[in-house]
Amino acid sequence: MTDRLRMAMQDLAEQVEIVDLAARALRTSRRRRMRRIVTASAAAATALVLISGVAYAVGGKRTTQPAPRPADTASVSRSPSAAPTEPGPAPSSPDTATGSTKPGSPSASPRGDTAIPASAMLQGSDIGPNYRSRPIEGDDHGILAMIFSYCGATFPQPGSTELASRSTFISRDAQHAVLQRTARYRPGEAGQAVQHVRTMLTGQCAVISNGGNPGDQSRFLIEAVDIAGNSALLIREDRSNDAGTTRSYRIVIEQYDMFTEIRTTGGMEEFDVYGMARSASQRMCEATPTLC
Amino acid sequence: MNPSAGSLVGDDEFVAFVRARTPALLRSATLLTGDQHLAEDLVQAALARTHGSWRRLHASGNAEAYTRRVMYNLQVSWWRRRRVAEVLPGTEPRPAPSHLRIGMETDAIALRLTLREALLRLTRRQRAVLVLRFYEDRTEPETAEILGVTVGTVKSQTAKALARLRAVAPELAELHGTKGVVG
Repeated sequence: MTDRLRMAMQDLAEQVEIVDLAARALRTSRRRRMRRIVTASAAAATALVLISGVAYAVGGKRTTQPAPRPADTASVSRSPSAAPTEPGPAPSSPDTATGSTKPGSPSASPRGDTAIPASAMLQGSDIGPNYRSRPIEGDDHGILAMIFSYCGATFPQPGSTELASRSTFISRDAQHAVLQRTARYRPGEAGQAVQHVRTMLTGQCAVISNGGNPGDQSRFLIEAVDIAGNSALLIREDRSNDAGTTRSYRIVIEQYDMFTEIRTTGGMEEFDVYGMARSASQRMCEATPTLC
Repeated sequence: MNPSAGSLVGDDEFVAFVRARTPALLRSATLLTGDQHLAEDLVQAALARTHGSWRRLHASGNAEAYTRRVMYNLQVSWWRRRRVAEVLPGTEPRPAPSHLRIGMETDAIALRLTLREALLRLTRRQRAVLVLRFYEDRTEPETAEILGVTVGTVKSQTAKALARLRAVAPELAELHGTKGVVG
């Protein structure tokens, strides 16, 4: 009775494409271990602070000693030179990137600053010869927030809070360009943003009409996952309009509390995009407390 | 042997294990998820957990059993997290239009598509039970142990899953001109 179900399931299972998951599994395992260490360290630090606070409170009630000596207070105060510094735009490209921090944003990174340094963004040398940072021109640049609006969705996902953002535009000529937008989110939301992109581009936003024009359609396909950072997607975009069909790639990467989206134009090859993803995650990594 | 050298040797053994067992794990994961990428993610996550306990699992010879158990249980928890996304308009599995089915070259292709879509309409636990019982040929007690449920639950979930398959994909019984594919 169920023999044919068994055979049908075997037939269906045989259709899977076998891939080598060894490197991916090792990377995920190391990431998990690092998260455990970070979590355990944070818990230990919290416990230490609580214990110290309780001990101090108890000690204060038991004795009538005056306030701690100046030397004691000085050991826990933050000197001006030790305070986290707000990195500014890269000196070499003062007008090629824009960055902003939302006023009153809660601190997301353990260092206490939410701003995204210019060094966390791709540089021309990460992409190829003759690529240079240039002023950002135009309006929406085809970023995900705009793309998703064409299919009735939103980006970032509802309920998330963007704490800071920075954009950069790097091009070789009028046709070959890379646009990157990086944002910092509350803990956990950067990973949810990657999942949100995956859900939308495999669902209601798999095919969109650019600007609502049915004659200008983009079709999205997720080519690879986890190619960089804590999680990532390599997205292929085939855009068809009167001029024909062009293929380009997008990357989204989660690295700790940061999310970046990279859009390429000008026939960049998939192989080059992998390298760019690695460079982008490495630069993001250096702006977060994670090990890379 | 210094610790780092020991770790590298352990990784070599782990990599050999992964390469040997990935095909089988991916096939089961594909039936569980209905999607190549989700299947890869599921197996990758299960293998990562296995790596975390590799020394103990390798020594006891339980690595594959552990990986499978993690995979099935992760699938259940992932389903819970992704349930909302999986019913978004456009992603809900539907039977292939009849004109497409008529045009297909072979019944086998049609059967594959229909079965995949029908499996996606089961609950995550029903799907896991069917894959374990009829794809992996596990006994009811083995299935119960892997899923962490009772044998009675396996029996009832199996019956419900088969009934659901009949309901959502009656064409499964007709593809080869006879009844009984899932009946």
